[in-house]
Amino acid sequence: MMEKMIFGRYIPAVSPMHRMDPRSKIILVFLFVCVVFIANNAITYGLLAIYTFLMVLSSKVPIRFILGGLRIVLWLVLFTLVLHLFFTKEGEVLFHWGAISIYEGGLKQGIFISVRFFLLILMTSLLTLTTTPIEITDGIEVLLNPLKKIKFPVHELALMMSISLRFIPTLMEETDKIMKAQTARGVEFSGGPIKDRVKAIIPLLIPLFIGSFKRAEELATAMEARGYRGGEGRTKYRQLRWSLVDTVMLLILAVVTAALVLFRS
Amino acid sequence: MSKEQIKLRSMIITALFAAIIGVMAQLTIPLPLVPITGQTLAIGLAATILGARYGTLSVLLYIAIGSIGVPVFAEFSAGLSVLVGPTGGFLIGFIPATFIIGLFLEKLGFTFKNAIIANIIGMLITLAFGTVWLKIATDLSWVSALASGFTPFLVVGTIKAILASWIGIIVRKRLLSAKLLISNDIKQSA
Repeated sequence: MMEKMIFGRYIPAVSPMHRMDPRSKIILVFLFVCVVFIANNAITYGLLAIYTFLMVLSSKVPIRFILGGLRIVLWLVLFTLVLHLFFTKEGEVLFHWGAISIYEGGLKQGIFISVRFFLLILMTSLLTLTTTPIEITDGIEVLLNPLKKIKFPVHELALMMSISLRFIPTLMEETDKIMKAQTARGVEFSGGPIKDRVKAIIPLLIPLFIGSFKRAEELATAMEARGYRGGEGRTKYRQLRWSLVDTVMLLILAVVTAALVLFRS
Repeated sequence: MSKEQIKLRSMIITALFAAIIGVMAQLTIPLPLVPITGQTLAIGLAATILGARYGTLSVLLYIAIGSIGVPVFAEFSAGLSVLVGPTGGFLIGFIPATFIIGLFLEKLGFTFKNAIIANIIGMLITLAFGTVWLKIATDLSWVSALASGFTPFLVVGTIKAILASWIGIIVRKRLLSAKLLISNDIKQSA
């Protein structure tokens, strides 16, 4: 569990997707999310599905991790499909049985929207499966740099994100420790009357908050002692590099987009 | 403390609070029928303890961390896919909800009664965002979107709102008496 909290959903592998710069990966996924909405008939959806399928294959992420991400939304997709089947009354009647009749438009609409969901989820999971959280944070910081001109605190946000990422595993461990310590003092977290169980949150939360606030003070002092003076003129330990694979990947998406525009009805 | 020192400290506290929301989202208080998840509770706490500005910022950070793949959303889920998925609107709704709760309490005072009103308003905002998003994402009719995203959560949501206010006010008092809550002093001095 601890490892999952540090690396997120990142699955290490050697693939073009993994070799891409976090910046270009973020751009690619962002563009894809927009491009998906161009598709509006069977050919364009098919094209998008093939592209996504090839991207997933080339990422070399084991299929079970990808299916794991899809499982969360599966029932919602099915729910949408069923709702469209029964409630969208457009086109010819395909099927009629008692009070239930299924229309052509409903079937089409339902399938298209389900496919769109699946493709969106596949591509966005691909980003987090092939990039570590800290790499994504670095990428976002650089991509948002132009916003500094309008006084948007890009550096501050990236710093706060890194601090949060750093402290999630620590705080998880601390929560576990506090729970054990309070259990030893007689607090019951999972038994006893409802009133007591709700009350048991207080001896858990107070030490957690006080500990965190103390930690914040220590970290601030440590940063100041090392000469932290905000983002101005600060150099980077992890450098980002734009390579050929990034350009090629974006070009492929451009070709797919052109084909989508051509074939959409 | 100088202005820079205060700024750095409030930035770090906001970041740690985002981490706390992520940790609390994984805790459940096992109650019969309706288990209370820590996520909504933590959102209410962020607003009640940090106030509008830093509370909202910490919720924003929490969502950002979750969307880049750290499993901080409920039931250890993560990724942009959760955010763009059908239930993503509830997460987005946390942002305005935190802001309104914080603003309400800052203007009218951090009392238990105000906290309950503010947290219930916050819950309604979250549910409204979630339902609208659900409707758009799944192309449902308004009636079915409301039936699946709004009405079923009203009772549970109210219970959670009352809990968040109760715990939030207690935690806030303790932090103030331990002189650890500097983020609110900033607002008064700045």
